[in-house]
Amino acid sequence: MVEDDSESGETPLQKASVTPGYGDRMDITAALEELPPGARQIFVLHDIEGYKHEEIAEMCGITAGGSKAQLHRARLLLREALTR
Amino acid sequence: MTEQHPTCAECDELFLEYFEGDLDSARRSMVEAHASSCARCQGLIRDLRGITEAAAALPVLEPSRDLWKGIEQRIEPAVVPITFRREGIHLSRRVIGLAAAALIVVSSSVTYVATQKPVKQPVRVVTGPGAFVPGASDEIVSQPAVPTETAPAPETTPEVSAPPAREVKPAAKPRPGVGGNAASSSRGTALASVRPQSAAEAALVPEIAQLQDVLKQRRSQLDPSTIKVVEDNLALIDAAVKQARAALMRDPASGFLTERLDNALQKKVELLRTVALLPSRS
Repeated sequence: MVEDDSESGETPLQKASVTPGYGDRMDITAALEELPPGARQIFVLHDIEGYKHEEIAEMCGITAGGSKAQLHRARLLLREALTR
Repeated sequence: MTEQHPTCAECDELFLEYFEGDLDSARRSMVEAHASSCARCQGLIRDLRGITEAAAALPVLEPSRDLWKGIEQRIEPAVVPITFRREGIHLSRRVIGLAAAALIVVSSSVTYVATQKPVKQPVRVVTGPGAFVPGASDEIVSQPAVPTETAPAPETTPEVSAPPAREVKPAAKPRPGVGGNAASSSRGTALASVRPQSAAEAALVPEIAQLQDVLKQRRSQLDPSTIKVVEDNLALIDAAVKQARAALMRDPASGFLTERLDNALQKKVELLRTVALLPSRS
C-alpha cells in the first residue's frame, strides 16, 4: 500500500509527477540544459533520438554499461530539476 | 537485501537495470512488490517513466536557427556543371580580350596625346624690303623646316621652300630699331602669320562653336543672372585664350603656351557643356 502523507492523498512526488505527461515540452527542454554534457548527450541520443546503448557506446567511445549508467543519471537529474 | 523485501536503497541500485529491462523476472517482481508498498519508489518509477515518455515525444532537436544549412554549404562544395564552367571560361577570356583591347586603345590614345607636338602648319611670312616678324626685332625669322611664302618682291627671294636654317639675304634684313609692330605694316609691309595649331585646339574650336550655338538657342530658357555669370566666365576664359594665342604668335614652338591654350579651350568647352545641360528656368 502506498503511503499517503498528504492531505490530497498524493505524495509530493506524485504531485510533481505529471504522468501521464511528465511536464510539458518546455519544462523538459529547459531541464535538459541543466544536465551535465555527458549525461545530456546520452539522454538525447537514447530517449529522444532512439539510439540503442550499443550504438551510443560506439558513437561516444564508451561502453554500453556506461551509456546505461549515464542515462539513468540523466533521468534522475531531470526528475530532480522538474520537481524543484 | 532480502529476496522478498528489498529496501529503498537496494531498489535504487536495481532501478537502472529495471528500466533497461535487464532484470530477471524474479528481481523485477521484487522491485515492483517493493514499489507497490513504497510511495517514494513508486513515485520514482512513475516519474522516470513519465520523463522517458515525454522525451520520446519530443521532436528531434535541431539547431535553433538551422545552422546546419550554413555548415553543410561550407562542408560540401557547390557542384558546378562542366558545361557551365567551360562557358564561364569562355566568357572570362572574352572579357579579358576586350579589356586588353580597351587597354591598348586607351594607352595608345594617352601616348598619342602626351607625345603629340603642336602641328606645324605652314607659316606664311610675307617678306619683302623691311619685312619684320613680331617679336623678332633684329632679323627676319623663318621657321626651320617650315615652308614660307613670300610676297612678290623682286629684290628678295620670292619663295623659299623650307631649307633648314635658311639664310636670309642681308637685303631683307630689317633696319635696326624698327621692330615687328603696326608701323611695319603701315609702311606697306604685309605680315600675315598663321600660328601652328595643336590637335586639341583643332578639335576644340569647332566644338566650342557648336556649343555656343546651343547657348544662343537656350538663352531665353535660362535665368538672366545665370546668363550673366556664364558670360563673365566666358569672358575670362576668352581673355586667357587670347593671351595664349598672342604669346604663341611670338613663340609658336612653345609647348607650355600650347598647353595653356588647350587648357583654356577645354575649360570653355566644359563651361559651355554645363550650360547646355542646365535646366530651364521655372
